[in-house]
Amino acid sequence: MKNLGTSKNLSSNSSNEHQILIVKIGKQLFGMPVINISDILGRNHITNIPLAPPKIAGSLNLRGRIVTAIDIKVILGMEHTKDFTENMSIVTEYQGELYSLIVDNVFEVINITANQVQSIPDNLTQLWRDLSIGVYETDSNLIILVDFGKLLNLATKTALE
Amino acid sequence: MDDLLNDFIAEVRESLSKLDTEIVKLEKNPNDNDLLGSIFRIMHTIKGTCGFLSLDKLEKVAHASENVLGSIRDGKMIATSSTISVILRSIDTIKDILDYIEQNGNEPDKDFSKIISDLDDVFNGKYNEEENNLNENKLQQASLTEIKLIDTPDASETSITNNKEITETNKDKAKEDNEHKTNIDEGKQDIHDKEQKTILEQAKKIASQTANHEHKDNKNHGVVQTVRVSVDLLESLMQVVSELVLTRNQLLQIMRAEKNLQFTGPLQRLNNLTSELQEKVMKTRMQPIGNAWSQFPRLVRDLSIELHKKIELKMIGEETELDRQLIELIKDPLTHMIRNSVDHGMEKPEERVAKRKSETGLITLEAYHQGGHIIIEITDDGAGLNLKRIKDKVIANNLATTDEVEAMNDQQIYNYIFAAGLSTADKITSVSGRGVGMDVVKTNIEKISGTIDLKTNPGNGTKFIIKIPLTLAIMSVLIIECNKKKFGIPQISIIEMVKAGENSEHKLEFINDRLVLRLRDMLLPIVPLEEVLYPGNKIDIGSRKNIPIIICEIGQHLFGIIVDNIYDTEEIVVKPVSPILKSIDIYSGSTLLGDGSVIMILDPNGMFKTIGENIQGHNQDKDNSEYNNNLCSQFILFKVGGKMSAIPLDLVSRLEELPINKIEKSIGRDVIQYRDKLMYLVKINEEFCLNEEVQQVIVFSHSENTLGLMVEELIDITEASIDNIIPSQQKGYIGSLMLEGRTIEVIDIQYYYSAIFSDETIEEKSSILKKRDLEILFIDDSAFFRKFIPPMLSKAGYNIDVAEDAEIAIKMLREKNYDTIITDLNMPGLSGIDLAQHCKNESYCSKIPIIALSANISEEFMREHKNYGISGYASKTNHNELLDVLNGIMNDSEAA
Repeated sequence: MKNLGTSKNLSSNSSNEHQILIVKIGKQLFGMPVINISDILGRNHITNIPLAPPKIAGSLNLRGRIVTAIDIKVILGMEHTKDFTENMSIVTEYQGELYSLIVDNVFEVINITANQVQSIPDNLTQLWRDLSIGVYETDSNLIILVDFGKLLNLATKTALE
Repeated sequence: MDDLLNDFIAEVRESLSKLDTEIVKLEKNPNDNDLLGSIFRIMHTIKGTCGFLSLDKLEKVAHASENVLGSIRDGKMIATSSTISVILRSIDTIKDILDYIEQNGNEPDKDFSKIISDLDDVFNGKYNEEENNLNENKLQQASLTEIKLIDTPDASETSITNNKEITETNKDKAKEDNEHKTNIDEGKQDIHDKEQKTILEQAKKIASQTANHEHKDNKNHGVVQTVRVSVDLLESLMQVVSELVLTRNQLLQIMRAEKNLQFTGPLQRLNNLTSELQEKVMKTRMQPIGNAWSQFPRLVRDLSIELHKKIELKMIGEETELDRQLIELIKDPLTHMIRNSVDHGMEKPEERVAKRKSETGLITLEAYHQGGHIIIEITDDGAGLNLKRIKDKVIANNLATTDEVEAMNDQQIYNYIFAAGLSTADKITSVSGRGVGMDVVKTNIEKISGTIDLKTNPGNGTKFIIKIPLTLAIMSVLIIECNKKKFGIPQISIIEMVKAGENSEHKLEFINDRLVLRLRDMLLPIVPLEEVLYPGNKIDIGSRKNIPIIICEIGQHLFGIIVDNIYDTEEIVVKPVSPILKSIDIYSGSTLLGDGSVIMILDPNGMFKTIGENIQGHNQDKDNSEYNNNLCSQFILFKVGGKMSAIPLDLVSRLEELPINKIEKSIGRDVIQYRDKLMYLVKINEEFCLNEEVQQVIVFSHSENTLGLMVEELIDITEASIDNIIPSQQKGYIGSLMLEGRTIEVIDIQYYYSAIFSDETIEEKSSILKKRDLEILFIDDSAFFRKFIPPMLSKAGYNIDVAEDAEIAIKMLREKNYDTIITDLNMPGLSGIDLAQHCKNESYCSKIPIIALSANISEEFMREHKNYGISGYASKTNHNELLDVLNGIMNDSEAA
C-alpha cells in the first residue's frame, strides 16, 4: 500500500505537488489522487451480480481482466445509482484486485500543494470526515480530497467483517 | 536406458556444474562454511543416488571426495589449492563416468583406483603434491583420452545422420583433439597416432550403431533436451495463453458477425496458431499418469504380504497424460483406494479358492481419455461390497434411519461408503478401518472438479470410476440464461438437461409447496434459479411449457435447476471471484465470454445448499391462498376388487411389482421374501384374484414391520381435499371420497397393520382408557393428519381439540386446560419445538406433557429435545405407537 500512503502524507509533505483528479459524485466534487488511478472508463457494460451486496454494481471486462465495479454512492451514504449506463468510473488496484469506482462525471486533473488544503469542516458526518483528508478550494467550488486507502478499505469490506 | 537413470544424469550434471563454480569459490575463501556445507551436500547427494542406482564406481569416487570435503567442512583440513585440484579432478572423473553411462547405460570397466587413492591420501593427510603432479597429469590425460574414445563420436551423432558424414566429422574432431593434446603434452605424439586409428575405428562402429538406434539414442540426451523451468513460469505462461485463447475467441465472434473478408485469412491463421500454442503449452504441464502410479506395485506387494493375500496389480494406460498439478492431487486418493481394494475388497486366498476364483486376486488400474476428461478405473475381482454391512453401519452411525435405509435402492446404499465416518472393515488394521477414507477420497476428488462412482457386483468385485478434468486451467461450462442475464454452470456437475411442463412427459409438481420433478423413476428436488438469485421473485410454472431444467449431481444428490434458456457450452478460463463476493457461495468464479461480457459461474454445491434454506424461506412467507392448498392431500389411486380405492400417499413407502410365484403361504397368510425380510401381504377383498405373472403391491413399512397391500391395478396419484371424505364406520375404511364424479373408498391401512402385527387392537386398548376423561390438544398443519388422527383418538376414548398451527394452539391453551398436547414437529410459523419451548416458559401450560409426532426421529434428536419438555415421540402413521406413548405418559402423570 505504498502508493496509497502518498495521499495520506499530503499535509506533511509541503514542498511536493500532488496531482488530483476531480470527479463528481452526486452533487459534490471530490479529489482523487491520480497516482492511484490506472484507468478512467467511459460507458462500459457492467454485468450485474445477483445476491451481491448493494455497494457492488457488478463486474466489467477491462482488457481481459475482470474488474469489480463499486457503487461509491452507496458507500458515501447517497442514493443508489439506478442506471449505470451513463456513468463513468475510475479503476484502481487494491490488494491485487482491480476495482472500478462509479462516479457521475470526471473533470480535469489539477496540481495542488499541501498548504492549499484546508481542514474538514466539523459539521460533516463522521463517515465523510473519516474518508477525507481535507478540502481544497477553487474559485467556484469546494473539492473534498479523498483518503483513497480508507475509501477502498471500506468499499472492499465484506459483510462478514 | 531407463528414465530414472536419465533423470539422474541430468540432475547430477546440474549439480556438478554448480560444484565446479563453488569449488573455485572455495579456493578463494577456504573458510566459507556455508559454501563448504553446500558443496558437501551436493557431493553427498551424488554419492547417495549412485548407491541407490548401484553405480559402484561412481559411488566410490564420490564417496572418496565426500570424505575429503567432509573433513574440510569439519575444519580438520584446510582447502589448499592442491586439495582443491584433487577434488576438481574427482569431479572431472565423475563427469567422464557420467558421459560413459549416458552413452552405454552402464559404468566403464576402467579402474578408478588412482583418483580414489589420491583422494584417500588427501583425506589421510599423506598426499604429496610435488611427487604426484607429474604422474598425475599423465594418468589423468590418459584417462581422459580413453573416455574420449567413446565420447567423441557421441558429440556429433545427434545432428548428423549420414554415416560418412559422421566419420568425416569424427576425423576432424579427433584431429582437433590431437592437436590440442599435442600442445599440452608433446611427448605423447606417438601414442596419439595409435589412438587416432582406434578413434576412427570406434567412430565407424558407433556411427553405424547410431544410425540404427537413432530413435533410441535421442531419448538418452537428457542434458541437451530438457531444461528445468520453474512451475511458476509455466503457470504464468499458461495464464497468458488462456487469455490469448479468450481474445482469439472474441475476435472470431466479431468476425462471424462482421464477415469482413480482409481479416478472415489472418484471423484463421491466428486461430490455428493459438490453438496450437495452447495445445503445446498444455503439453508442458502434462505428465503421464504413470508417474503417480509408480509406487503402487510396491504398495500392493507389501500390503498383500502383510495381509496374507495374493494380489496382482495390473496397470493399463500409464502413458495417459494429464496436468501435473492434477497428478499430484490424484495421487493420495488413488493410494487410499488401492489400499482399500487390497484390504477390504480382496478375499484371502483360501476364500477365493472356496469361491472357485483364482487364488491370486487381480486389481486393475486403468486410465483413459473420454470426452475431455480422464477416466481412472480401479477394478478388483474381490468380494464386492457387503450391502447388509453397509446398511448396518449406516444405521449404527446415525447416517440414516432404518426406514430411510429400507426405502433406498442398493446403489444408494453402496454410495454411503463415501459418507464420513463409515468404514466397512470390522477390524481396525494398520491399513484401513479408521473410518476416514472414502469420504476424504471423495472430497479430494471433488476439489479438483472430479466425480467418483462405484459399481459393485457381490461376489465378483468392485469397480470405482473416477472422472477428472484434463486440466484445472480451462473448464467447460454450460451457458444458461436467467432473468435476461447469462450464467455458467460447470459441465462436470451436469448430468442431463430436460424440458418439463404442461404437455411434456416429465412433470413438475408441488409437494407441500416444494417443486419436484418426476423423471423416469426418480423424484428430484427442483430449484428455480430465478428464485435463488432474486429472492422475492416467484416463477410461474403452471402456464409454461418446455421449461428447461438442468439436472446436476452433487455427491449422491441429484437436483434440478430451472433456468430460462440454455445456450451452448464454452471452454472458459475460470477467474476467481473478487474477495468481496467470496461470501456468496453460489458463485465459484467468473469469466469472460467470447463477446467480452463478464459472466458469473454458478457453483452447484452452493446452489444445492440453498435448496434447504429456500424452502424454509418459502414457508415463512407463505400466504393464505397457498396455505389453503395444503388442505389437499395426495392420494394414490388403485383398483381393488373392481372398486376404485385410495390411500394417502404420505403413508406409502414404495410401490412394487413382485413375481407371483414367489408368494408363499405361511400360517394362513400370504408372505413374500422382500429385501431379505418377510413381508406380509394383505388383500382387501377376498374375491380379488391374483394377477398372472407379477403382482402390484403397495408397500407400507414401519420400523421393522413391512406390509404389502395387493392391488389389481395402480392408477394414478391425485390430489383431493380431506374435507370431502365422508367417514365410514366399516372396519378397514376411513371413508369415501368423491373425485371427478366417482366414489372412491379410502382404505384404513392401520386396520390391516394392527390385524397383522399386533394382538391388541385399538378397541382393546381403548377399553382400558374409556374410563378416563382426558382432554387432548392436537396440532398439525397437515389437513390430512388432522382428519386422520383425532377420530382414532376419540375412538380410543379421549376428547380431542384440534389446532392448525402453534399460534392457534397457544390461544386454545390459555382458554382451556388440557391433559396432553400432541403436536407435529415441522409446521410453518412456530414449529413443534417452538411450541414446546413456549409451554415450558408459561406457567399455565408448563406442566402439560407434550408428545411430538414426526416421521423419522433419531435417539440423538430425542435426547436433544428432551430439554424442551417433550415427553414422548410417536410416528404419525402408527396409531398403536401413539396410543402406547399416550398411555405411558398418562400413567406417569397419574403416578406422579
